[in-house]
Amino acid sequence: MRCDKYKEMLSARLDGELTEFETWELDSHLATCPDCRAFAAELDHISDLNRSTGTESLPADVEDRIMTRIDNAKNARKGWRVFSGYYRIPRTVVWIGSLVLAVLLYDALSGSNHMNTIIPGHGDAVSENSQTRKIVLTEKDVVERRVFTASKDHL
Amino acid sequence: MDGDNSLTFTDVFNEYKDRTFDFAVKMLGDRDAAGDIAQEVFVRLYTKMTDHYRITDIKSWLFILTRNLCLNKIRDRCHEVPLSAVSDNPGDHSDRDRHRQIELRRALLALEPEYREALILREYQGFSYTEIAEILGTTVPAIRALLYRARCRLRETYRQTSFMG
Ligand SMILES: [Zn+2]
Repeated sequence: MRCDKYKEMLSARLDGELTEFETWELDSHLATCPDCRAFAAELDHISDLNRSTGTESLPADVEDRIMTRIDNAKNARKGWRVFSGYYRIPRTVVWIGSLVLAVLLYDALSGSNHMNTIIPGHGDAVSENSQTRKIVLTEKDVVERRVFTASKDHL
Repeated sequence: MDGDNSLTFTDVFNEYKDRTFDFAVKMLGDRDAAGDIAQEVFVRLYTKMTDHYRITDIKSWLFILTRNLCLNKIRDRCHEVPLSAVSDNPGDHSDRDRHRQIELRRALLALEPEYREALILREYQGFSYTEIAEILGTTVPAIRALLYRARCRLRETYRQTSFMG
């Protein structure tokens, strides 16, 4: 329909989003079209009614609930502050750091493992295990066992 | 205040708490549900800010999140909005104006969510077409056409409800 274009312009004019040329074009059309003038009056009325409606404010009890949750989150984070500057370490650095630590730890454990084989006592524990379970121990098994023994010692 | 890294959570909260809540109330017609959504929005904002995420446009971010949470709520909701849930905060108006405003709010709640959100952002929140396009993830010409269709639908629905009322 021919008037659709002008009705859309009427809607945009309400929002202050018409160009100067469009405003001129719309005014020329309105001068000759009673249908669009009636539509304009109705849109104006609805828009005035909408815009005169009051706005809602966040209720105090909701604000309290938000602040409580934020305080809880704050307190939970305080536990991490022992790692000074935790907040300021970028995530990538933390990941790379963890990876390096893991590699170093693995190295340290497998390195000391070579020594274990020549230390009496530790060796006994390994052979005792190999006898009862009848399996061939690999280097990896020993590392795992050492970790197990260490954690058991802590219990 | 967008893109300003020196803003604290409290600055943003004080600036936008009422606006985001108002948007949610008008989207849902339900103050309790809108309160839950405001809570979720600001707790997430707090987490993002303390984790040092860079939010380039906080205003858009807040309204996009509020809008998404409202749409989820509308999708999950299997019942009609009770009319009593349409809160009235009419300002200084005569009974007749007040009655008309309530009728209009009902008509707004009866609209499809895509029309409703565009109208609320424009009519009540005063966002420009560019800002609405950003929040709804579309273009300015699409917003112009959407608002026109939304107003036509609101006009029809308002006529029906006010005749019936
Ligand atoms: Zn016309």
